[in-house]
Amino acid sequence: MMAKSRYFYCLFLMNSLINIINFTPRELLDTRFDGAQSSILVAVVTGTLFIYLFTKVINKFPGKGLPEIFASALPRLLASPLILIYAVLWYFAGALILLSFVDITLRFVSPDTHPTAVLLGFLAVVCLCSRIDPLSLLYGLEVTLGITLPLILYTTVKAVVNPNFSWDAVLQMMTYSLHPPDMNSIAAATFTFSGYINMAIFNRVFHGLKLKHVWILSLEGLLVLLVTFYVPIGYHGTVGVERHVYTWFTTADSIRIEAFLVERMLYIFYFAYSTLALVSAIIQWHVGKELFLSQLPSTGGKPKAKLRREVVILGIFAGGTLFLMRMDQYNLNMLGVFLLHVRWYGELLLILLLFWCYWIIRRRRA
Amino acid sequence: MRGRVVRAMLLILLSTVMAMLISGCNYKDIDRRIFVVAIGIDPGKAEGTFKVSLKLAIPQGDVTKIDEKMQILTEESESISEALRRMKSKVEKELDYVHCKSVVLGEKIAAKDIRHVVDWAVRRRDIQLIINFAVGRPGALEVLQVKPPSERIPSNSLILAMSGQGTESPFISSVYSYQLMRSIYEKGIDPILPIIEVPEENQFLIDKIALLDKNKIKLVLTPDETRLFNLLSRSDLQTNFPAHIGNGMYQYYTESSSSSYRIVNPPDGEPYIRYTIKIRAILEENSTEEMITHQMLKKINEAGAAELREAVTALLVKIQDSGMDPLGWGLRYGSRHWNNATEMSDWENLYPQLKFQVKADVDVKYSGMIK
Repeated sequence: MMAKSRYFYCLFLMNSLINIINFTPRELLDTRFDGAQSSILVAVVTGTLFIYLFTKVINKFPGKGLPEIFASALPRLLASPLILIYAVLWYFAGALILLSFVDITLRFVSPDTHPTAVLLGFLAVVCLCSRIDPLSLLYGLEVTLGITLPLILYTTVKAVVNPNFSWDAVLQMMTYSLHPPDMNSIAAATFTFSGYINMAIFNRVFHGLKLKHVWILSLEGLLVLLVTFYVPIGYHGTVGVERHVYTWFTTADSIRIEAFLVERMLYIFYFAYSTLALVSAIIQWHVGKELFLSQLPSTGGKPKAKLRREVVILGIFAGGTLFLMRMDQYNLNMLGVFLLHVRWYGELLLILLLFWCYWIIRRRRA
Repeated sequence: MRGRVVRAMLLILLSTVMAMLISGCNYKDIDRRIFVVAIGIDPGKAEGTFKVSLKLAIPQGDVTKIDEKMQILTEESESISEALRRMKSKVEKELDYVHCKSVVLGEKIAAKDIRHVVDWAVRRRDIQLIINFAVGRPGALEVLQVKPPSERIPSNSLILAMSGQGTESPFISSVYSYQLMRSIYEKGIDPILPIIEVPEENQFLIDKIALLDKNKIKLVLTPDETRLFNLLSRSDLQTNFPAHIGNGMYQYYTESSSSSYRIVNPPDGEPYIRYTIKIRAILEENSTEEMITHQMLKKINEAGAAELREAVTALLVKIQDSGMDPLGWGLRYGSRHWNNATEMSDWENLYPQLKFQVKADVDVKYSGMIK
């Protein structure tokens, strides 16, 4: 079985939608007077360029994941540490989504529940599901997007057509766009485009990725970033917006829907994003787990041994996340911003490494 | 095979335990909760304290046989949260703020500083951002005590009136907490709040707007000015306006209305704001015995437009004289200028010199059911 190319778009879409939850809007809004808007444009260009280069080079290795590619081209002493570093990065990406969402759940939906209970619930789902085979994960992702995308679009449209939406605040913000871009904002905004990076493992089920219309990806990324940035400003003002912690959830809380089952948009938004966040964490941890697994000596095809290893790895993942729960709101944010930066450089390095691998293999063949 | 079954059983057991952990933790059923439907905040007896009042709705089963049951709790303390915690000891059930829809600020609080209360209401995680804020006159407690005979669910009348879901009065403007928060911190727009009065027992009256200079009431508009303010600040206001011709008085009902404005700063000449108001209307009342002809409709249009123009100009000048900016002209000025460092000081110099041009376009299309 192999995956069709449209699942690549699903991976991209998932990542671009999930960025709204926590760090991207916060970083962009923090620098809204000093270059967030030009950073968005820079991020669209670099993001598209990264996608283009990555898909070009990964196409040279049909059906192979990152561990196989590195193993075939790089010396083991170099490949192993690199893979381990990337595995840790993927682990943190998933863990941060979970931690953010535990925080959001406690703040907005059930303040009375114990944080650990919420996290344990999330961890149970994520750990059990990240063991599923990659192809099924992609199918699941597609279905999830099918459910959540209409809800997210509904929220966005409803947000913008609200007569209380302050277009003057948005236009006032736009007059601040002539600023040189800012590094933090670029790192935050490019996260919208980094869904492709999960192909490092998922490429195992893609045999020859055929991408049509890469410009659609840039357009979608640009739209998502503009919505992420401007809609909260329309609701909370150019100055007041800095006072909100989970900007997008408070924005969803500010939208009232009349003549509908529920009055608060927050619940619809929360439902859509909790589903998407869990699927996203599952996919990140699946990649992380596979990367770790690839560094352990072969089990010789025994399913029991593989299961035991997976349980240990996911157990460590879950334990680490429980430990990270001790961070407060500001520590969590600092870690998130740090990770946004590291992830960006990591992506760049990964693309360069892949080109290098390709070059080595070609030279070997010649 | 058997190992598989055991494992599946274990998995089911595990997930059940998980599910129980998640939903069961501290969860209280509806019969152990009392819903707070409105919060009133007045100054306490001692200086710097708050008198917090909660209006509670008691959940009842059968909707058709509802007999309104409500309770009001009051507590004084130096902080709002402390007062709320103390009130927990006055009821046997858990206070639940999730369905709270309105916060009424006592007039004395609004005359001093509203920011403390707004900060509290936005900061608390279980209070919605689409909660309606209003000023209660003479105090918040008096407003909460109102129980109109038409009301079947506690505080429902207040909620329906303030949010515009029930009555669509042209005199009421609803202000959500996120809007209040936005205009408190935004440069170039000042907050407004509707005023709820209690003229007689079990009846409230919401027909005035208070203009605030970021933190306290500076000016209160009359009902007529409030209606004009709403005409300028939102579209499709459903109201009536008069037109006098000779001794005759005509009233037209606005089917649709819209208003827009431009700030014009010509290089040679005085800066001005040009308001354009467009109204499509139906004739509703005619004090003369004469039939309405096409000619007459046109005259009504002109007379109505002239009266509207005059009234709106007077309101705009009054707002300008108060020095406040409830309609967000400063923000509009900033959004059209790219000199971010200086635009707001430019605006502050410009604002007192502004002149107003009002272009009213009244179009009475029909004479009603009779000519």
